[in-house]
Amino acid sequence: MLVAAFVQAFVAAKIERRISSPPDVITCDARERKSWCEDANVTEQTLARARAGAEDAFRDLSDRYRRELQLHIYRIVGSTQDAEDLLQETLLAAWRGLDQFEGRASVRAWLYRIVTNRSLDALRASRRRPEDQRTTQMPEPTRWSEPVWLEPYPDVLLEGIPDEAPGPEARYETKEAIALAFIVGLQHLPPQQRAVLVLRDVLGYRAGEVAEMLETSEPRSTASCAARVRRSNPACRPPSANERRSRTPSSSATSSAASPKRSRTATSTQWSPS
Amino acid sequence: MVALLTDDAWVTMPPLPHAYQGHKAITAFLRGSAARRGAPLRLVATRANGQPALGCYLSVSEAEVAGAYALFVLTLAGDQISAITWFADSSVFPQFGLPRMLR
Repeated sequence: MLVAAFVQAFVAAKIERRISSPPDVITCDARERKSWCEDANVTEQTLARARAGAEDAFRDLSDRYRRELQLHIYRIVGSTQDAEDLLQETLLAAWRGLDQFEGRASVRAWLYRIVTNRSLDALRASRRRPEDQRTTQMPEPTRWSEPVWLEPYPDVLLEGIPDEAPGPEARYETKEAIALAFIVGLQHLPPQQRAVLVLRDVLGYRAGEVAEMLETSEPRSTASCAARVRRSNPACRPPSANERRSRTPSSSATSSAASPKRSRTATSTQWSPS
Repeated sequence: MVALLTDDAWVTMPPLPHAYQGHKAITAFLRGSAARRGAPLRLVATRANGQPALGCYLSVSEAEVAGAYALFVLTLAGDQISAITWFADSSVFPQFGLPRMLR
C-alpha cells in the first residue's frame, strides 16, 4: 500500500500548496512588468565588467537563468542528461560571444536564443531515432504508440525557477508545461516547431521575437501545434474523463478542456484528498 | 497498484512503443513483468516533471543489496492514477538524488 499512501500524500500536499498560494492572476500590465523586471538585476556595471573579461561578472549574469535555460533545453531535446551538457556548452559559447550581445534584447532573451539554436543543432547532429522494438517478450499491447525518446526530469531542478507572468503569446502555465504529457506531446513535433511552441506558448515571446531568435520568417500560429501536443498522448489528455466525472456538472469541464489556464484553477478547488 | 488506476488508465514505456490501457491489460502486463524479474521491486519515492514518481530497485539473487532498475512516473486524476510512464533507463538516478544501490 506504499503507492496508495504516496499518492494520497502527494495529492494532499498539492492541495495545501494551492490553498496557501494566491491565485494566478495575469494582469493587463503583465507584459510591461515582465520586460521591466526581466533584466532588472542586470546592471550596466555587471555587463560592462563581464564584457571586459570578468568571469565572475558573467557568472552573475548567467546564474539567475541557469535553471530555466536547462529546463528549456530539456523541453526541446527530451533528455535530462543532455540538457545539463548542452547548458554548459551554451554558457561557454555565450561567454566567448559576449561582445556580439548588442543589448537590443534582454540578456535573458539573448541566452534563450543561443540555447535554443544549440539544442536544435544537437538534435540535427544526433538524429536520435528510437528503434522500433516490437519484438520483445511483453504481452500484446492495447495499441502501438509512436516511439519517442524521452527521460523524466527531476523536480529538484525546477526549484528556483521564477514563476513570472508569461508574455502575451503564452497559452500554458509554466508548471503545466513541465508535465510529462506536455513533454511527450512536444517530442512528437518536429524540433523547430517544438522550439517555436515553447518560446511562444510557454515563455510568451512574441512571434516577431521568436522569428529573430530562430533566424526564420515569422512563425505562423502555433495553435494547431498546441492542439496536437494535447491530442498526442491519450494517457494524459487534460482533464481526463475520470476527473471530469468527479466534478460538479458545470461549465468548468468544457471551459477547462479548451483552456489549460482555467483548468488549473478549476481543478484546485474541486480536488478532494480522500 | 491496479486498484488505484482509473478505468481508462494507460501504461506507456518510452521509447518502447507498447501502450496498455485498462485494468485487464495493465494487470497482465504487470504480472508478466514481475514474473520475468523473478524478485520483488523495492520502491523509493521521488518527484519528476511535477508528478509523483518512484525509483525501483531490484535485488540481485540472494544479496542484500538492490540495484537501480527503473523509474516510473505517475499521472494523477484526483487521487487516482490515470497513467504510469515507465522509464527503464536507470542512468538518470543520480540527477534525482537516488542512490545506485539500496542496502
